[in-house]
Amino acid sequence: MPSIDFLMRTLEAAGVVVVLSFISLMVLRRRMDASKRDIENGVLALEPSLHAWLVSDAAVTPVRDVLRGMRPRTALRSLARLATQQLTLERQRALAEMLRGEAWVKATLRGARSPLWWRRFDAARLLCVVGRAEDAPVVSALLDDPKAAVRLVAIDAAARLPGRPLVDRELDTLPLRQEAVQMYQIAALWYHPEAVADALMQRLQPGAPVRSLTVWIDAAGSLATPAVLEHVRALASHEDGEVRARVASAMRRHASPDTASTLRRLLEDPDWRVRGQSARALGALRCGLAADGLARAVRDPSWWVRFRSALALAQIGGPARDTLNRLTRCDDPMARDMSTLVAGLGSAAVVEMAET
Amino acid sequence: MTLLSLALAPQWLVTMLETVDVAVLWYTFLLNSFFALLLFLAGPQLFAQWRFASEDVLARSLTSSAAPRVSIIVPAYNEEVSIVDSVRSLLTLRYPYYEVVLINDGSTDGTLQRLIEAYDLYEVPPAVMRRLRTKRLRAYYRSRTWSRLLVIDKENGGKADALNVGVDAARFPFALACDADTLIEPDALLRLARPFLFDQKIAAVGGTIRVVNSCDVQHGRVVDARVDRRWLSGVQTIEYLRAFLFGRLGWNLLGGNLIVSGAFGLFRREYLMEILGYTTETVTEDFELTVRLQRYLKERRIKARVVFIPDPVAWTEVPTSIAVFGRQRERWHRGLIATLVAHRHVIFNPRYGATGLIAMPYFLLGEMLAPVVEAVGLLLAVLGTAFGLLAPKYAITFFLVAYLYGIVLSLAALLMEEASFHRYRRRSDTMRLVLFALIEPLGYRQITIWFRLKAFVRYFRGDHSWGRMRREGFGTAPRIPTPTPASAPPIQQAS
Repeated sequence: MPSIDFLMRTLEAAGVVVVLSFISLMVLRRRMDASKRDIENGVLALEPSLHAWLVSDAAVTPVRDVLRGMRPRTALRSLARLATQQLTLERQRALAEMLRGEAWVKATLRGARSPLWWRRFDAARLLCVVGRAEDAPVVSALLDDPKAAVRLVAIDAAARLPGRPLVDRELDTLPLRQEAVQMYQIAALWYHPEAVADALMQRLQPGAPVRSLTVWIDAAGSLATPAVLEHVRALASHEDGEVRARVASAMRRHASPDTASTLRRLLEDPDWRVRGQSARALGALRCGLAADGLARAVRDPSWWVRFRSALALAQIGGPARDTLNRLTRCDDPMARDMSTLVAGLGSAAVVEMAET
Repeated sequence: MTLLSLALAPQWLVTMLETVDVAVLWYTFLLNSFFALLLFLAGPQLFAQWRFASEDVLARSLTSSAAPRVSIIVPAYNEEVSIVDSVRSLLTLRYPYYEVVLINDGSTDGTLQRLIEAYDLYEVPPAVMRRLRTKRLRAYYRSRTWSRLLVIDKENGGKADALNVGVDAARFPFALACDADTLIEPDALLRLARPFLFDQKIAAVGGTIRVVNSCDVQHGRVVDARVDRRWLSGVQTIEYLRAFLFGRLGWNLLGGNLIVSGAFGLFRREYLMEILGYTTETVTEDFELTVRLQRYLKERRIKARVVFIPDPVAWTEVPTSIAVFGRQRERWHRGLIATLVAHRHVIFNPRYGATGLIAMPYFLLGEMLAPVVEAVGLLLAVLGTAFGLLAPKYAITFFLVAYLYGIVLSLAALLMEEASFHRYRRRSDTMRLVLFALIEPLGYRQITIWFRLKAFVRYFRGDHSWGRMRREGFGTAPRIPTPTPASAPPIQQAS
């Protein structure tokens, strides 16, 4: 049983903590208000000069001067917020040249090697705006950072570096990432279409590991470069169903007569995933020649194949839409239900459902 | 100074009281130390999440194709007054890939008719895969104007049953369970998707629920966050802050987050299907589901996490009358007891890792038994003082220590709120929260103990009812009485 003396001392300590908490609360509130105002004012101050530089021949020096007048943290946050939304890659590189000599930029970038993750995080955020080719080793280290948030921002920083210093590295690590990060990394690779296309064409070989191949096919589909998609199409006979399904999915961005015949063949594939993705791609390509095959696929045993095929008929429109309408009165109850579901959708709804 | 006046009582009574007293004191000490540990663990995480929530990082996620596809599942029961606005606010979220699956759970008012008129719904055949057993479905509707919207009309079967219909009908790999009367902030879904970008396997993500009473709500959006002046809802505001900001954040590091709020939680749908969705046998389906999900993950050795992140916010209305509040708390506690009993073999079972060794024992000892221990402590203090067994000075000092400790936890939650997301912009609101933190242990806590004790009685009687809730509505909406099989707030934690 604790003694009354012990309780009294605990009481005193708790009282002190309560008073200190209250004082901290008041101080913190004031500081947070000031900090928020600071950032808002920073953005407001920076926006006119940045906008003037972006849309006219105005000099970039006022942007630098405005940033120089801010506290480093405010400058970083204001710049990061505006640059993400407004800067093209070319303008960003011009801005980078101008800002690299600034004391606050140097100080923030030194944080890339800090043991404190939030300094590395800030350095990565700034490298998204002021990164140059010679920063590749730093960005490469940030891509391996133990903190996931730093790695994520470093993906963007890597994408914005000129040349192709990290493209191979990023493509090779892509299969090791979780799906959402893969998608994020693939989107970031759009900044270097030619370098990525070269690197992908070297990798899209039938003998490549299936896990890597599926991710690279997704990247190729996302990049949608015709030459790369031809390499993808060559994998349509791959023995692995998952690979064929990804091929069919990627093909929806590759409008060519060969693509249509490949997809029509894949619509008869034994794997339902491949049939579903082929139907989706045929719809996206508005392939009228596939209407008969798609009408048969609306009677497929797989729900997804029926759904994708009905959507594809609606997407293709014209006679294919008439086929869909006829299917709403057919004798197969599953095909009838699915075609009735899709036939009632408006055209915008069809496109949206087909895309997601 | 001794505690007991030995001369006034028989020895056996003194010994018994002393033993119980020591047990209560140790319980209080250990529980409060555990809360302090949660607080300690939550601080750095809150800082990290606040930094990750930077606008530029969020903007990049939005514009990339990385955002996971989400089906928002909304059970609705007799929500005709607010349903059109609620659905519109869901259909205009700032998120690239999602659909809204609204389940009309046998409403007896004009909920469905309002939806049909407002969103130009047309009936479609039930062309969806049915894998979960639910009450009979009456009709499916699609909207001609909003392709993202699917409405399913079904016979009344309660919230869990309606959610199962939604899980079944959803198209996307992630399902967000959301109450029809919960207001989701426009960018909340985007924020909720953030853990998926951090290269982790995620089974479920929970966001923060805040109290909407007295906030300025326009067109289904909270445009000005305010703290209610009324005692009951004001105290619940600070209670929610404490439960979410350090309670659940702390559990992230202890590896055993056991509550993903039913009013605002994102789940990987394949796992929901594997565990056969929500159970209709409980009155706290969100807690039961999360426990079952954690069990499933541990039993299958799946390294997917259930995490909580603080910045995605959904706003919900809390009870403003003692009667309704009492029914709600009694029901939450009854659900907690039922879930712990149903999953009793997980408790202290090393096979379930942190869930079995830390989280479940905490919920048993720190949540389920808390009202019993607190009631015994209070009773002993009163009786002991009345019969001269307990020195009044000792009793008062102990009470003050417990009181101040409770305030420290509430102020810590408030400090964390101010240091990070800072939703309440007015100084007067902060001062009001401080005031409610000061008065919460005086009366509110004791009332809560009473309702939670009643839960034991009703549980042992085999009562599975939800009770009636009375909602005031948002903004200037008129008061309507609403039974709530389809709209329950989250279970309490770390209060």
